[in-house]
Amino acid sequence: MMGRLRETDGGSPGRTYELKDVCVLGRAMDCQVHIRDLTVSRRHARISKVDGRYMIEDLGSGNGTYVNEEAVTRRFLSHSDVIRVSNARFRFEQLDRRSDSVTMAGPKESAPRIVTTVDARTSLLAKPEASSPKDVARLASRLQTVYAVSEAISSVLDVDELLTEILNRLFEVFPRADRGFIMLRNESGDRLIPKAVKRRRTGDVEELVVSRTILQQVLQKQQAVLTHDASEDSRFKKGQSVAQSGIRAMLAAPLVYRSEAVGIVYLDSPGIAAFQSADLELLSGISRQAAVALGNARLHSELLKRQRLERDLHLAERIQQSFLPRKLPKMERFTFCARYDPAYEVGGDFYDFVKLDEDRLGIVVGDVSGKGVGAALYMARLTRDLRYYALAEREPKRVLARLNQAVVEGGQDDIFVTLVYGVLDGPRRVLEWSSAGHMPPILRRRNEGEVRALDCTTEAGLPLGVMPDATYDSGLVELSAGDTVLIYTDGLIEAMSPEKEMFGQERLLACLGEGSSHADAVLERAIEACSVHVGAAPQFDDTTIVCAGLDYPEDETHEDVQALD
Amino acid sequence: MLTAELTDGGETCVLALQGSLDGLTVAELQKEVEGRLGGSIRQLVLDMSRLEFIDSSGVGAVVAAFKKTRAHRQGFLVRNLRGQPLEIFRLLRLDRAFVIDSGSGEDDAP
Repeated sequence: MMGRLRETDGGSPGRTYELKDVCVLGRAMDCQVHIRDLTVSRRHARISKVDGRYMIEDLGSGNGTYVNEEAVTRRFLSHSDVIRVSNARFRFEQLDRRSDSVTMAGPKESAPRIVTTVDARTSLLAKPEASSPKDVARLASRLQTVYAVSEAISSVLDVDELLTEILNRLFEVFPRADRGFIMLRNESGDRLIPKAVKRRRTGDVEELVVSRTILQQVLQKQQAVLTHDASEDSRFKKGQSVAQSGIRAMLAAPLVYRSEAVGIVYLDSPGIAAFQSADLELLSGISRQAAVALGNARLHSELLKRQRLERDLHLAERIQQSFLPRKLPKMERFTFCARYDPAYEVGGDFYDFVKLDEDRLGIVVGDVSGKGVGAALYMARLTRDLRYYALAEREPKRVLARLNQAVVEGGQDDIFVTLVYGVLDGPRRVLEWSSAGHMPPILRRRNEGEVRALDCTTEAGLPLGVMPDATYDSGLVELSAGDTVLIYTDGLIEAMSPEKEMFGQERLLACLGEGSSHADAVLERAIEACSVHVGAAPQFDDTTIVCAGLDYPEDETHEDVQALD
Repeated sequence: MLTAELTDGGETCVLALQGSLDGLTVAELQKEVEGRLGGSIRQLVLDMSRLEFIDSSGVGAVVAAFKKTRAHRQGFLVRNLRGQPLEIFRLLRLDRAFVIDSGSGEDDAP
């Protein structure tokens, strides 16, 4: 098989590239198909010859490789496929093809007369007239054929390969078949797409014209049909090339999988009455097995896709974890602890500690809207931006204002971020904090035994990314020995019990008021109380908690500290 | 589920939301909003009287609708917020960004 690419859109429309055994498309000068476009990766995609066919592979490009507007990682090419690499488009042309285009005649054209039909849902064994030894022998022979074809195709798990193999086997079983094709319904089920075409005679590149009416009958009634008189049909007479090819008979059968017609198998042949009713029954029987093999191949392909996705997700999870702090910060007299629990493999929650100078530590806990990989990617970017602004600006409210500007300018309209950013001054024992549409931190006072959500001196600000010129205010809290501050995301208080009741802030405050005031103990209590509330109910949102506690001086003894020991 | 209605002689488009606005259903709202940007429509109204639940993806879609209409110099109003969606909007302080009419006669405009 020889192939070439014809550029249809891009820098040199009309230009053709003869395909060698291996051909790379990309921006690099040494690429066989050199594309001058900055959005194209240096080595974007590769087309190589595999078993006589051309296969395209995406080489991990930034913007992806598309065949007929479908993103591909690896796929065999068929004649007329349109390859898109960023803005450049190429048509793949198979130079020595026999015929791989199928045209459906319009509904106004008269359909060829159907001589026989077979209900494709009935089994070959269901035929009651097999009573004479001759009939039984004929039936046995047919079953043997169906079995042999079934065995040959059942191990093929690649859909494209399978369809080619089915046609090859059909040409063996029906020696008078001259041309054949398989069409499958597209994903939405509203169109039939030719997927494999075979011709017995080489060198013929005539287009194959089939009757839409026949196809509809095959699919809707799930009937296999046999016609003898295609050449008498006015539609075929108009198509001179078809008339020249001398079509006389046609067999078509549906591919029925789980009671649904997913495609059609078609064979035609020159010569009057090239096919008999028995051929139709045989084709119908083979098609039933072919449909099962096709179903299996599709399931296999789905499975591979899912496995790839799972691998990607695990990778994303590892990458995201790498953006979270690897160890907790150290600051004299303070204890820090954190818990991050995404609902799925990756999530939009995040937390970070930023060492601003010897005395001051930035603490952030936030939540990117949405879930999954998109939110996680955004979180990664936000962590980087926040570190930059935290070091550039002194006041938390200024950090949020600049970060908000960056999020707005990022241009992702449907993403917003809520977060609390605080600066803890160790020697002064002061936490200054700002909120962007986030729940306020909770303070547990050791001395007063009081637990409350902190008040901002003014209102909490808008989430990041909503308004370009949003401003933020700060709150200030002085900490005493035994005080603990807890910053968390909504996954904690919105966690649902099996009875669909939220954990809620009230329960959270209640559980924090009990027991030890040590940061570790406070965090564990929050998690424990929430998990008791949730029970076996599945979790739908990420949960992140960060706790900072001011410890007692070592020479002081407190029951709290003793209790911990 | 979403229904769209043109009022004020075609200058206002009211999109009535129903049920849940979450990661699974935001696409419908996004598509509808995209189709209403620019042109002769001067104001986009999201009627939430029959919206029972909203999650962060849903709020993201509302925020995106607000930002897009703003960029096209169109008005934007969220109407008849109640229940959980109202709580979420208040919690996020979104009443400070755009006009939220809770439907009880009080106007939460900034």
